[in-house]
Amino acid sequence: MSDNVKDKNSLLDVKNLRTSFYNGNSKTEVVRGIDFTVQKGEILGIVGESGSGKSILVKSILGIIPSNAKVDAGEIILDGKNFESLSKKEKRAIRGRDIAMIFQDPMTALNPLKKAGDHLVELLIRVRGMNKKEAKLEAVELLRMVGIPSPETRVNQYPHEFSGGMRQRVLIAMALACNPKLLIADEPTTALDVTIQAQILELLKKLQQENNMSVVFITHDLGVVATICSRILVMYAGMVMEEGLAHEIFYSPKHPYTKALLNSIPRVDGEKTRLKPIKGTAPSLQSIKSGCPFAERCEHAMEKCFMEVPEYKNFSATQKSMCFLAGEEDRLDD
Amino acid sequence: MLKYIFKRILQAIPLLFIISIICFTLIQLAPYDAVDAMTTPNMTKETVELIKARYGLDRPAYLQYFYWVKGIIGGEWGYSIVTHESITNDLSARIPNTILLVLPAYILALFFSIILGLLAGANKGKLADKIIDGLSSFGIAIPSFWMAMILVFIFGHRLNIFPILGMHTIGNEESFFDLLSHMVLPCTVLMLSFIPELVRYVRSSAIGQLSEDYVMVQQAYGANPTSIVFKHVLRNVLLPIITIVGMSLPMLVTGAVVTETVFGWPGIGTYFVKAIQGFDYPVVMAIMLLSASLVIIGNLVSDILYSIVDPRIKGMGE
Repeated sequence: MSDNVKDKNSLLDVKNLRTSFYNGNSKTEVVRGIDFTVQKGEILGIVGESGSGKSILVKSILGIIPSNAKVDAGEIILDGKNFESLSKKEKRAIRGRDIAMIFQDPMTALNPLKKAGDHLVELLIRVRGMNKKEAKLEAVELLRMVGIPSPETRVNQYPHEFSGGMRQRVLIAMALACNPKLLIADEPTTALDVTIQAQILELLKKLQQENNMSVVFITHDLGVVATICSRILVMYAGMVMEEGLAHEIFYSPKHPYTKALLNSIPRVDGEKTRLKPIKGTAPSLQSIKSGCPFAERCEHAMEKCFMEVPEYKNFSATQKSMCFLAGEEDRLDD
Repeated sequence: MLKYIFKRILQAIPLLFIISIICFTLIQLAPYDAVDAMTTPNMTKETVELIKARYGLDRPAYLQYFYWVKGIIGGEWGYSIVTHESITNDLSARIPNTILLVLPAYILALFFSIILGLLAGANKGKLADKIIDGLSSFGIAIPSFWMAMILVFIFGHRLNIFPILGMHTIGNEESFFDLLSHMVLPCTVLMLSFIPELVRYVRSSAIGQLSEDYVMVQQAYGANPTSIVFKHVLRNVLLPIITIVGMSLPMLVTGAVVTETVFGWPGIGTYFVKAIQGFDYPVVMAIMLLSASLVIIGNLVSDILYSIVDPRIKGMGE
């Protein structure tokens, strides 16, 4: 991607973002220099195993990381606004206005002592400047929009009276209430069962198209990514391993990690092959060594891989990969 | 909802009976004969028997228990065997005095604890938290009689601004201001003894709540930290405090034994201590029963309050 040319179409530009956890004197870097762009109106998928830093990455952008974590470096530009130049208060104003987020666990994301509707009302008053009466009507409308049946009664119910899927819809309604330019969905379907998962994905896709939002969709589930994302970022150990359009990632992956991930998904169509799990576990970021973070688990690792971090190689205007071997197809496929 | 409350009240009744049996048994098991409080060593055996018969002490224990419980249900708590005064009268004269001391102290303590606890919890690990948490550890370790003496020494003796004994200045019984100035020192001691534990409770509850997901969600939607604490966290923190408040109900009667004794406050505490010193078993039994029953009633009240305040429990009965 052409980095320096100001992309008219980009909504969010993140450059060299680094976030670490601090524990006493020890520092653990979990987001290790990430660059990415979110285009207007696209759904970008961020894929990675647990602990690869996906959640912390987006929470760093939003500024809601835990108190023992800190963003060490990086540039975040949202719609032309550089976050660095903003005051704390201005940054807070961006949250919930320009960016909204949906969380992984709908069971705990709502205040148990507040009615579902009050969550929305509070938000509508603060973000959209409505008065209480307008906000109440709008809350019902929002619940209807996200497909909650009989929203007039639901609006006065407490979170414990909703099922997981319905709670996630309430949270999506919260996000919609803000009319955000960018919606971040952090594994929104992980805690839900499969049929509900499909409904929620359908809903998100529909709402994205209707409102022309950009969506960053975080997941560890490649199946989910395939259903809704147009572009994909593959993360591993706090770094982007490969980036490309969905069909590029699925049909011509360049990075051994991406290939290994794809090989480990069970296929239901046609040929029966053995699943190929990736050996080993994701590295602990506390004991990160030099070189490519995937080297230890990589089938094709060479001596060089343990010594230095490979540069990104571009394969098309949209696809790039961080591997010495990327592009040398014959060597990767043996 | 009403069904639930009714059920809880019904459940409390057998418990109260069990408590009365325990109180009675414990007194019967105490290594002295109740009649000793009324006899002198040079009385004849016949006289002692006569006294025993007069107070019903010659009857078997189960009958004694039966008459005791019967009396209590009828509002007749018996007579002190030392002063021969009616316990009912004594209690009704003294309980208000104790409440007058404990209630304001407890309410003030609760108020300060919630503020300090939230402040500490919201600033976990920072200076404010370290000071508040450190002082509460200190406060828990300080015995209240020592605190009482220090306050008496400073404010009663050195500065001489507050009276240190009793409830009223003699000859000035009607003056409210006089009563108030007598209350200051004992109330402060009580308050200081209530605060540390309450602060710790609120603090840990606040820390727990602030790490909940819904707080992060609110942050993600741009709510400012103060409004998160007051609009969202506060109610969740206060909820478990209902239990603590309910459990503190017995303190209205027996919560100030030490403080009342130090300040010569004419409440239940001094009455209780005197009764124990004089082997006045009907009084001891009455106070034991009273405070144990208040534990049960306190629990009952907090359960009922909970079911009114917490929507998650409110819905369960239906």
